[in-house]
Amino acid sequence: MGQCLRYQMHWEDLEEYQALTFLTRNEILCIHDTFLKLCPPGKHYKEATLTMDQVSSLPALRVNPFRDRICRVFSHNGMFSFEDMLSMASVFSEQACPSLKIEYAFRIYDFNENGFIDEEDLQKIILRLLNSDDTSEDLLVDLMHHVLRESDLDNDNMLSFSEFEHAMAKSPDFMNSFRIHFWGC
Amino acid sequence: MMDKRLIWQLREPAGTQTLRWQRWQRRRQTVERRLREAAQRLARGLGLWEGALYEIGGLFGTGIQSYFTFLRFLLLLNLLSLLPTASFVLLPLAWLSPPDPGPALNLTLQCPGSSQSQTGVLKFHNQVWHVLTGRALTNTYLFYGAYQVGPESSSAYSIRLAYLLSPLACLLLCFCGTLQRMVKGLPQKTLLGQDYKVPLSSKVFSSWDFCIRVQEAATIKKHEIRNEFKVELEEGRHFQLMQQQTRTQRVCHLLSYLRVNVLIGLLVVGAISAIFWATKYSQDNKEESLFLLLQYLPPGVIALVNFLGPLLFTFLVQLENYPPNTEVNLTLIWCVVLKLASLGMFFFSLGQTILCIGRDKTSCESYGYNACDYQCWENSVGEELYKLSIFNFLLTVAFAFLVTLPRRLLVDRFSGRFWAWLDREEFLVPKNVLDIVAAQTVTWMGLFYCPLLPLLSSVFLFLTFYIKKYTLLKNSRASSRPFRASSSTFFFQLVLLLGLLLAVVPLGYVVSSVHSSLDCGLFTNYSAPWQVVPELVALGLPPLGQRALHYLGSHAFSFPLLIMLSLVLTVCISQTQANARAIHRLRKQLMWQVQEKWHLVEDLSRLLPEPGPRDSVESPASRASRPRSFCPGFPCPGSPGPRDLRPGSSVVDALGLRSPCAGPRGTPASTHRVLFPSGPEL
Repeated sequence: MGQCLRYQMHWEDLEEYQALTFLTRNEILCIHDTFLKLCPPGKHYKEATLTMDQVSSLPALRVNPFRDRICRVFSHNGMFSFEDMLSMASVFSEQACPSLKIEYAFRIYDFNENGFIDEEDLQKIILRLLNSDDTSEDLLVDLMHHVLRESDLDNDNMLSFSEFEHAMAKSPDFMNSFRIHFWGC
Repeated sequence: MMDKRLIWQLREPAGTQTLRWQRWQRRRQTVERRLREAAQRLARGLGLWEGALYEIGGLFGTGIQSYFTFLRFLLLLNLLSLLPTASFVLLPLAWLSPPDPGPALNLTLQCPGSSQSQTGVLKFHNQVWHVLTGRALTNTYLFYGAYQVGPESSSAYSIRLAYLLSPLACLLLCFCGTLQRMVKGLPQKTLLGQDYKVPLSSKVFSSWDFCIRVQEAATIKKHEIRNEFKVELEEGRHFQLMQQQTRTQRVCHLLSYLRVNVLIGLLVVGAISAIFWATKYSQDNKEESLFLLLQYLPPGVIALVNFLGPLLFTFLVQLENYPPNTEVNLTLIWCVVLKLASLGMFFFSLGQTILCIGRDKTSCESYGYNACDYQCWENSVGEELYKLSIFNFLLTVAFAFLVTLPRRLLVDRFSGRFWAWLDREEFLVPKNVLDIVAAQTVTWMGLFYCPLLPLLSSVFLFLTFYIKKYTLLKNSRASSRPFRASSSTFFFQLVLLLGLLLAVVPLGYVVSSVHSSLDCGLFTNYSAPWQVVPELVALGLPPLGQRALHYLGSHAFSFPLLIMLSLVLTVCISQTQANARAIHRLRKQLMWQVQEKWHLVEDLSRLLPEPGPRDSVESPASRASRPRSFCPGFPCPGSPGPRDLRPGSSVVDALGLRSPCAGPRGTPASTHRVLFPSGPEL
């Protein structure tokens, strides 16, 4: 794992990234550093890509139970460019607006990518949140019924995006917990 | 990112000549953004301890991190409280250096009992002891007594007014700061009726702390989440049972509820009377030979009461078998009541000995305060609060190094059933928060008597951060009961506000109605410190200004103001109720519309012929649900293409509506697809 060509980021690029994302200047430079350490040697940082495995093993994502979903949502064709990483960090940053976070949370939790969070998705989410080896079947079924009963407003046994958004709006924890610092420096 | 860039470029196509004002505007926007970032960093405490907070959050989650964030917030509040005092009182004092007011008054006092010789007191010449009790610092600007100025005049800067108004300004600033932070911690949208607590569904989606980065912390977090879900489900079941109870059962339940609360209430009353007697005893026997012990008796009793109280409450509440959340909340509320009531009682008993509140007024008749025992009573009060502050801090240090550390060493060294049961100490967030809130209340109570007390508190808070961090990282284990960061933020601020109110009440009373000491301090010639204000108004302001101020203070102004505020409140409440009704109606409408939609889909699928697979037409489900971006100018990077609907009409299955042509679930290719017809087909 060598290093990319060590180009300093141009001032205009930095300004552009600051305008297009929610990240602060320091955060962008930190991510730039981290990216440079990981990407294959000999390439300019704007053309280099990282694999999903490399991104999954970043310290910020290493123990996250949803890291594969995060990588899948933010990557293009299974590869991460520098700008994809910036997008990911921007959505998870502290300054991002709530609606953006809710939108991406919905996409991350939608395991089968059919546009709804249905029972199958819920099952997977709950299994990942608890230690799956000693989760009883009853607890799982109970939880799923509870969740659907509370949030499924139109009674179709699935959560659409607006129902998900409605549920998230009632949870003040969401903004606090849906946050990752990608600092490595 | 490509989409965003495209949109950005569409807005300002490259190559066009940018006018000068456009370039200036862009530069202004960058400057604004930088300033905003800097202001945010400043508001969060100059980036103080960011690295440490990040580490703690990663290791223990946001619940425990919220305690440390709260500590940093209190440090900032204290430093902010210093600003009015330093800039409006100390700086002018140092600059103007007012002349000496003249020799002290010779008071003729008829004091009961012989004047005890003070030699017993001064036997203990230890320098450290003098600092700990505040005697060494009596004549410094730390205490009220050292401030002295000449009589008021209309042209000179009135230090008296500044000294009087700066505690009030500090308290107002702290109130605004706490209120603002409290409002930020509330849920983003309004809370509806019975959905008062966070529903389990949103807990499922927001319970994972994405900032955790260590494997052990992840395991602990998973245990926490599992416990929390179990507790929630149990609460739900308990609630269902409660709904089905008969009336007699409900009355029985209520009685048992009352029983435990009355019992705990009696304990609290007992504890408070103990504090009352301790303070009285300490003040009455100031010249005893047990001088050392008695000086610190009131803080000692307060600490003991606040240590034993929570243990007893937990024990009593657990006897009753309530659902877990109720147990925790009840214990917490009583702990808060005990803590604040003990501080209130301490202050009241001080007031009783010094100002004869609530007892016979013979010794206070001549001068309005107990002049025989206290030459400078504000200094005495200031000293008591100073001692309480120092004692609290020393107690924190002692607990950290003399209890938690040995416990950890012993538990690590020995292995046996007892040591395994004892285990390391749990880091309990509510208990730690109550401690620092109580310390902050003491600081606020002492603002008038001891203007530099916030400086002392800031130093203590700074050191407490490092001590607690060390304790957490090395000597504790995470508690098994999770403490959610959001509800805790709101709760901490609420308790802080209660402490602030508790501090404001005595201050208001003292400032407006109590006679100051006659031979020390700034208000020697006034019947109450607030009398400076009318005097200055009469001296300094023009007649028009005086009349305006009189009007503002009179009834003719306050009654209309009150009526107007009530009107505004009524309007807000009725608007809220109307909104709640509208939301209820809209939810019903939503359900009907979706049912209608599925009926239509069913009808159509019956009427339409079997179509072949079409790639370009999407189902209503996937098209309707593609999340749209709500942030202007920031669409989703790499917008997804049309999603394939899974083969099989599982969507239709879910409702139990099977169209007659649908194949069995799971078979690919030949199954019937639910398609929404495009225009020309209809």
